[in-house]
Amino acid sequence: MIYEDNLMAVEQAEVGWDELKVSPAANPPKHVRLDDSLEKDGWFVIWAHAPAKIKLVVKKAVLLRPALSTSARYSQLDPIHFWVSHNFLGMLSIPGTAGRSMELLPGKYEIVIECQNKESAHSFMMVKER
Amino acid sequence: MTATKENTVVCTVCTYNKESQIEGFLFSARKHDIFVHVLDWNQPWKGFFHHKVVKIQEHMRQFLAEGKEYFLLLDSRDVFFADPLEIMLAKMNGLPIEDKVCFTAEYCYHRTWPCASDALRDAIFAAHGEPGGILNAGCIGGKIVNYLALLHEMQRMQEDFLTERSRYLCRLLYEVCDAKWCANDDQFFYSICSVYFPHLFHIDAQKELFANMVFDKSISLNHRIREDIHSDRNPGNASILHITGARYDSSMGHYYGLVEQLEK
Repeated sequence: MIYEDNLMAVEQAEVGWDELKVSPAANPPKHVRLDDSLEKDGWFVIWAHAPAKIKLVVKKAVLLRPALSTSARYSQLDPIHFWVSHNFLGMLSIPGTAGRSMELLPGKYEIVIECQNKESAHSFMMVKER
Repeated sequence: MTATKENTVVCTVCTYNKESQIEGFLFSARKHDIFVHVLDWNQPWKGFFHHKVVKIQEHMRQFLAEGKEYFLLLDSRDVFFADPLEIMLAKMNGLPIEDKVCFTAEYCYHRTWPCASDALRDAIFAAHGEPGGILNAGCIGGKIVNYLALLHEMQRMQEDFLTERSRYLCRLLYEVCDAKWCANDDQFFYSICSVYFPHLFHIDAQKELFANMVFDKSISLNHRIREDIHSDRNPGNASILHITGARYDSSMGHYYGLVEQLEK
């Protein structure tokens, strides 16, 4: 088990660089820079540099958002895709942006974050209890 | 008891290995915030009976064990959502499916087995009193326990097919189709079952929840008003649209504002 709290657990993670980290959005992991416009209250950050594969266990109903660090590279031709158990979560290419949240009920999910070039593909997800 | 967001599972049997192969379905689900359980992903396709009669029973029992009571089982490549889940479930709760499973109906002349489709259409009309419709297996919904009962009967029916002990209609259809093929074609099989077990089937002939359609760029909102409900170009009030046997066409996305929404 890589991470566990009363909201979720990360059973397995393969990430493109560094390692998966979880922390409150107000105090994000070292390599994550959230855009000022993003709401932080109650949100947690799952830092997972693309390309990534994560096995996530959700214990309570949550909202999950795809996001890019302001430090991420901009590539219109190589956007970063986020999938949750084959469901489309979002597609981002602009640094500092976040996609629409998806509601997840308790259960096990496989998250895949894809891109062609992993250079500065600073992707992360935001999660919050519903 | 009624279907709710919490007690209903939306699922598809999909043995593909790339999301791009079913992106129209997935994007429309995302647009309406519908989470789809994708079953049998990246597994070798072993035929309709293996995946959609035998294995689906295991999946349905698992969903029951997880507290789910209702289901929507949909094709993926050629299906997309036109409404949020709440609206779909309100429509499903309004259907007479307390003891039945809801199926979509197809009105067009069937290209693969035209002789059989005429015979089937007549037989289904006699059993259900709905004119013109042949069952299509692309969209199915209702209570999980009812569906398990139906699947149990289907397994018995397959034995009939394969041992040629089946009844008159099935024997008639052998004349135009290969018996083994009949037993492995989902639409054909469900249609035959609906004739012999009509008490287990509700055919959504009025397109209240499901619609089978032929889609092209010339379709317009006026078709909703002008055309007969049995036209394969009229979506009725359906929330789930099945473009029978077709691939996802971007024109569908444009028609329902899906592409524009994704581009924002």
